[in-house]
Amino acid sequence: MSCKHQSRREFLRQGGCSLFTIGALGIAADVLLPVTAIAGAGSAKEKTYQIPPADGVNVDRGAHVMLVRYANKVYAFSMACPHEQAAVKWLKKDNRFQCTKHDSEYTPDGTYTTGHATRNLDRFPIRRDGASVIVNLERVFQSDKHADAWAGAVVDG
Amino acid sequence: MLPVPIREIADTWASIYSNSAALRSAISFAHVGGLVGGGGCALAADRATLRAFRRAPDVVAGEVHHLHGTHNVVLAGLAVVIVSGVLLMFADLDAYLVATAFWIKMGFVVALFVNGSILVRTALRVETGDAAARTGLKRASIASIILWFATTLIGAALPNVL
Repeated sequence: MSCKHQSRREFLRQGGCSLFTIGALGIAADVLLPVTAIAGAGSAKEKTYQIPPADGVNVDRGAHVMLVRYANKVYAFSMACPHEQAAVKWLKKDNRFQCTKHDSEYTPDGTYTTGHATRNLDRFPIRRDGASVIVNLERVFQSDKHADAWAGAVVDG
Repeated sequence: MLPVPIREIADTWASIYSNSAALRSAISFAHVGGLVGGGGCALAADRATLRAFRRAPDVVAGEVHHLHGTHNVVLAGLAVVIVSGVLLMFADLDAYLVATAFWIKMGFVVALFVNGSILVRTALRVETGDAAARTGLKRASIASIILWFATTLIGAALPNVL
């Protein structure tokens, strides 16, 4: 039975390549949207959030709101998947939302791409108030029923 | 706030898990299969123990002897449940860590281990002829049945309340 021995030089070269790859993956991870837990101020009908200082996904689990800053736009999504109301999670490495139940997928701006759902992620009405955004939790805009309102539920970040 | 390496592992695993239907199916099967195997054996043994108490003392001794063989199967089942459970948790770590139902379930799992340990020790005492331990074994068997069903109930509810 033959046994292939690795020279010290080969070992160092392969180790260096591995470390470079790990480092590159780590750097790549930094440019992906991070996820942060937040809690809005205000009542059960209306929540106020500071505009996130950088692009990212900010989740208020108490209010079931995902406040997303992406490409200098801020959106407030419902955490419930439009298909069967299961929780939607953010996949940082894939830069997309995905339903935890039937795997419907959405882009960072809530646009549906694949899966059982038949519309985009529902958006809450949102308006800017200085350095904050105010999210109205009393209703959601559905992209198939309120297309214009859904498209307009966005503020500049 | 999670340490960065753990966050990185969780993000990577969430991506792998979410992109593979086969992997999700395998892990779900392991979690449910471990529960059916381990919990099913435990429930059968608990029921047999409780039935034996209605008969002669030597029947209880015989049943306790069978209990030792069941214990390893239950532990193996629990090990599979825990390993697959950790993988499920890391697939959506942020949601699980803040979910009250998750921590209630973990409490039941710890209670299952503690009760299992009490059950085995009490069974040994019964086997050596300690009549006073019989009541303890009966209580531990009843607690085991309740805890297995409670853990299953909260486990079934957990994905719906995340």
